[in-house]
Amino acid sequence: MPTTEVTEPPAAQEAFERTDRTAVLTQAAVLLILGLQLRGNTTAQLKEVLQDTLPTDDLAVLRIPPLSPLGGRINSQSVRISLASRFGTSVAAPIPEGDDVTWRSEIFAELARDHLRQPTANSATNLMEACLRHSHEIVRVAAAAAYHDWSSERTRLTLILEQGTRSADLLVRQLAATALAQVYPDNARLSDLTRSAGRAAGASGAASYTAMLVHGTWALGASWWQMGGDFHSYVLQELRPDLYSGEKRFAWSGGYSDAARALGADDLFTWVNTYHEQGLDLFTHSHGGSLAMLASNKGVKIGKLVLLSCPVHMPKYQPDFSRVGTVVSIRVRLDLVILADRGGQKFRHSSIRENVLPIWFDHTATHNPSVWKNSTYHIPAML
Amino acid sequence: MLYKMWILGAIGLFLCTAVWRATRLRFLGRPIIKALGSRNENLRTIAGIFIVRAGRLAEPLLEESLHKRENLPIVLTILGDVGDKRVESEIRGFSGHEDPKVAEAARQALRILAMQR
Repeated sequence: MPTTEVTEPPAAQEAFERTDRTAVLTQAAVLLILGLQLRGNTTAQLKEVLQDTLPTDDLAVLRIPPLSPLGGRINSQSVRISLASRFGTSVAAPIPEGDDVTWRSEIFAELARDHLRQPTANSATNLMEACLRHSHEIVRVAAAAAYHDWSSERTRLTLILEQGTRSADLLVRQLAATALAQVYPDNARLSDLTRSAGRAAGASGAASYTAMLVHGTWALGASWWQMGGDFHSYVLQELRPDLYSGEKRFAWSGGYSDAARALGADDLFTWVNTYHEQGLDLFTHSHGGSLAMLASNKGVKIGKLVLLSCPVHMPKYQPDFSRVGTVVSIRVRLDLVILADRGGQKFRHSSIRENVLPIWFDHTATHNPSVWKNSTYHIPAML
Repeated sequence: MLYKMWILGAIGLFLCTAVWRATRLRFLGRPIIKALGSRNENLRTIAGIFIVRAGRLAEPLLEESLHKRENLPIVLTILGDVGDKRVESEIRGFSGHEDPKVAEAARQALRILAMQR
């Protein structure tokens, strides 16, 4: 979901009757508030919790009524059965693992209306349970976060939060990681996030970068991979806030020859040593991937090597796997540029995770932000 | 529609290159050189690959483009890739070009040429 600045949120009921971005963010906020309202065993405790975290004037704008706390976990299976009998068999669908299994928005609006008219712990948990099937990822993650303390089925909620940490949407990732840290601080996914955030320190204690883009053939002057370019901006804002954004970014000639790539690999080796950036995750496009593989053979350590539409020329270009963490390849079907290059269309090495998108011919699709944002392709989850 | 158009353009490049390389007729190479200035990155890349693969056959066309100052950054890089040393001094002249993209491409082309010696 693109960044949306909400200046005038709708009231809770109105939010659940709308499907625009502002309304969806408000729905997520309402669910998190419900989870918070259910905390505490006494009214005094509840008041203390709410005063600390939720200013009453904000709650008044959203028109969220007070709610008595819940004593313990509720039986989520019973909640599902009750929802199924009320709304029909469609609600018995499995918990979504992607963006594809969702319920009609009218169901959420009706459950929100129930709760806001006569707020009870049951009406709140009905809404939370239902919103796990919401079409918007941020609402699903918010529902899982809010419901985690009250549901008898925590494992499935943890899965939704873990999936949220891989979202293309920075806000979803942050929300999911924060919630996961609260309910399951030892979760392995959090360790992964911590590792990737703290690996390579930049030179002289300045900004810390752990990822960088490397362009491909003829793309030295292209804007997409440079600061302010569309793909650079997308990766920086939505995927990797630690993406290299310094002035001394690495670039190579973009030439189409073994000599040009060898020279580029030497330059990358010099660059990472000069700026103390060994161990970066590299997002490479086309023969930028060949260059990175060559560089690993020359001594460059790479965290994760992401090969976007990389022509396969093994064994001429293959990574030194002892210097590379993981290798992920993402490509389209029958790439016309790779056809012209006479390279292979697929890696067949067991240490390279190959992902083929249901897109044909277009070599540039893999650095197109709208392709990355398309939830049907699940590209961020491939990394 | 645009999506389909670039695919047709790419197919045209494949065909045109095959005929150009078979007949060695210079005018058949011009559309491929012209495609270096395409707004579509796929077409630019495919054209560039075909021109480098054509090697010496492409040199006169590249030099023609260089003299006309057409698609300078990419033409300079390709001249480095094909190893056309006849224009080395001319490329050197571009290394101080006012357009930083052209200057950078010229410097890189000179490095590639030097490495190919």
